[in-house]
Amino acid sequence: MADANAENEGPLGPDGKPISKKALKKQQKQAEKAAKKEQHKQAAGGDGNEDAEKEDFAKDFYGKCPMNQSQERVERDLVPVQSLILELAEKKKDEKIWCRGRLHTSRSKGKQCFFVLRHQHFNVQAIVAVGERVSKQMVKFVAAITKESIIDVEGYVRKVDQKIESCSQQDVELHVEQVWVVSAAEPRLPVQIDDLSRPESEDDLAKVNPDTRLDNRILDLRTATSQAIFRLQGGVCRLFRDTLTAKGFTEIHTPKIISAASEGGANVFTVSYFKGSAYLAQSPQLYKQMAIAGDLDKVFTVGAVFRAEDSNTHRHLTEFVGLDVEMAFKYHYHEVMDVIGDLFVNIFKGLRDNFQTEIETINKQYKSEPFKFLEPSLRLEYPEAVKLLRANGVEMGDEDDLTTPAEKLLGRLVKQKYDTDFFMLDKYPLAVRPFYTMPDPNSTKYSNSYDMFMRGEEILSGAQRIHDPDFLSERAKVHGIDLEKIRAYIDSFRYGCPPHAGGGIGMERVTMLYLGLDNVRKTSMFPRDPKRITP
Amino acid sequence: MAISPQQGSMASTSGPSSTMYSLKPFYTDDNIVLPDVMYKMKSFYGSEDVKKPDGSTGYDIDALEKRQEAILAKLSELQKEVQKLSNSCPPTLSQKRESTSGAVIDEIIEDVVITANPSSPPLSLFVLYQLLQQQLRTVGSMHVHSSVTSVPENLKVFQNGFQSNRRDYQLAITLIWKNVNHGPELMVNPHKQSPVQGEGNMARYLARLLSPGYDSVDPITATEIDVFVDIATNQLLHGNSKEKAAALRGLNSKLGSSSWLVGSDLSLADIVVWSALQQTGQAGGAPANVQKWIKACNNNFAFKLALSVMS
Repeated sequence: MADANAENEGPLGPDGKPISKKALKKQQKQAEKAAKKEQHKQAAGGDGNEDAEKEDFAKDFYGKCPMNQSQERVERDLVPVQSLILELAEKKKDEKIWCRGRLHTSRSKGKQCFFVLRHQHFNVQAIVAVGERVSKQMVKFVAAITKESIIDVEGYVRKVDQKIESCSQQDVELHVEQVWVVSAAEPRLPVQIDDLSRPESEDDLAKVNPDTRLDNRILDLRTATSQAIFRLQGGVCRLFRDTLTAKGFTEIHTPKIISAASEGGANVFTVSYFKGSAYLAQSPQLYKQMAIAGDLDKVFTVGAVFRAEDSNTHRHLTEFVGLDVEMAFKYHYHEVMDVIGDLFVNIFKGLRDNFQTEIETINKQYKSEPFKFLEPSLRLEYPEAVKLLRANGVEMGDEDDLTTPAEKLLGRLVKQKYDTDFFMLDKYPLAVRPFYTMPDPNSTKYSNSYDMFMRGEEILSGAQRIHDPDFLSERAKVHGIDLEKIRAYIDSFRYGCPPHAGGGIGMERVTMLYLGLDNVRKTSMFPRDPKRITP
Repeated sequence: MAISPQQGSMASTSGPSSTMYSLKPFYTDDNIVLPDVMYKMKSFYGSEDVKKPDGSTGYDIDALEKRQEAILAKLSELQKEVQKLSNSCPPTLSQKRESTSGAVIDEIIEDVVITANPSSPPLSLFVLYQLLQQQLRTVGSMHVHSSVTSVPENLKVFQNGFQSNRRDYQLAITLIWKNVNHGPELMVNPHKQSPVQGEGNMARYLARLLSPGYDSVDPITATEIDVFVDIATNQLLHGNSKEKAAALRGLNSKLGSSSWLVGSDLSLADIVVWSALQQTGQAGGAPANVQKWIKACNNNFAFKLALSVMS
């Protein structure tokens, strides 16, 4: 000890002060360690060094591609992951194929690396193993590629003896010999794709907050479920357009910047318009009717609808896509109701027949009952519904509107009685409808208006519109509406207008209810609500 | 325990005649009143003779009488008024037909939903529908459920359900073609019932709509009809070939002695048995009396719709 003390005064630490005993001991230990390591290296010697110095013979078969600036038009056939099936394995037994996808996961074990290549909802297992064409450095490189990076691989498609349960392509495996990174992803992902795809029922594993999902929508959209939902939604739109076009309808587009609030001024967004201000359209109602007055006879429009309602519910958005229909009829507004009923039946049939895989994929994550409907669509009248509700304990007057719980109960009762999730309710009481609704000719209590329900929630509100300007002014007065504000609207009927009726639905809500999801934000790609305007 | 004074005073009878010390008795010989309650409380209701400050008694009999008379007078007034009103607006006879089946036929349409399998259409439904049309304003509509992809043309009956105003009718029969397994199901009010299954039961329900006093008017006939309905469903529709043959023989013998199964006219029994025979294809090979009876049924107007469904 005394010796150490005497020595202490000698060596000085980096800060100029004499090093303490402890620090000195530490230094000595480190020096010993380093010496030992050197020895080891020398002994293991030949192999280690040789390895490090060994020529990387596979150097040209992997790496990061330079950023694609369309340098060269490569004539190369990229086989989609979806097509990596048994038949292909047999056909191209000794031929290499190229494939592009995302790196979903990877797992390396010394001389081998297993990884999963994913594209949309298809994924396939791939393996890169040290061999004649593959070097150890290449395996290391592949293991180090970050998740979600887009990579190009070239390899052989081989049959596997045991089915790979965790992948969509269960019969084959890729034996990879070239790997190039087309677009690298950052190492730390804000959310894991596996967490986003997990079904809700499993309790003890990580679940993703809906807000987090929406904040990282780009990653959320990559899950198989989201892919299926938005493909199905595209199908809804396409079936809507196709069915109506086949019935002789014309698609029109109505303006969204309007000068006066069309329905009830409280729920409109105001925008500054040059030196004044304008409003964002709450519904294309007014312009659809003008198109009818303009002799287009049968029109439909698909466009954005803006509602400034401060409702934070599972089924309200401030901006959504409206699918609206308006049709001039000959004698009775039931002609229009038949068309709308048939439209829905066609949409449901189309989804049932063509999107079964998508529906099953979505059901894996969000369980629900399959959607049932009747053809032709079920139509009930309001007094019948009131009678049914009263028989089941709901107290309401003949002319009362249906409250949301009453609507849900009615949906359940109709489901139990007729076994259908979709029905139409006709002849609503006049008192609860807007001023432009045509009253029933035989009774002052009711009107020629209708609502349609899916799974007990309202999706469409429609009616026969008043096409006579004098009667319209009368009804507006009864509702206490200032005639000056709707002068332009009333004037559009002054030059002859056929009797017409129609209705509008929300695309996101229809998709949500068809799939039995619990929140409309799941079916809106970038939803807008009172609390969210990004991404 | 009475101690005689003599003993109490501890006097000795010997010696001088007077006692030494005399004690006054500290008890009396009177009857001792033993209490019968533990604690006695004041009467809860107040004493009977309370005296008001002005000296009169509490219950003002006269005032009470006066009040009673006033109320009676008011009542007779009201009665006169109600009588006047009822004379000016006589009560309308609401056509409320509450049959034993629970369907309430009043001014708002009542919808009876029948779900049936398109591979075995319940023919008795169509016969009963035509009979119902005679008595009530009935409308029918047909739907195809999403679980069935298509139905043949002859099953697309009841197309009038949509052309008309539902409000004008009292009863609606909604027929839904769906893949149900145990015969047709009938549903009117889901919260008050579970589905009525089987063609026989469906027919019984509809028969009670036709004649609400079905069970009470003539229980013997009702029972006889029930016997045949059971034969139709259990032996003709769902029985094995031996049971079917036995049932046919029974029918044959019954129809030998009368032209209809129960009573002297068409009844529910005829309808359901006819339907069972037609559905299982036994009508062709039936014995002679049964054939004659089938012909009589076919000629009846009520069977027209059912025959069109069959072809």
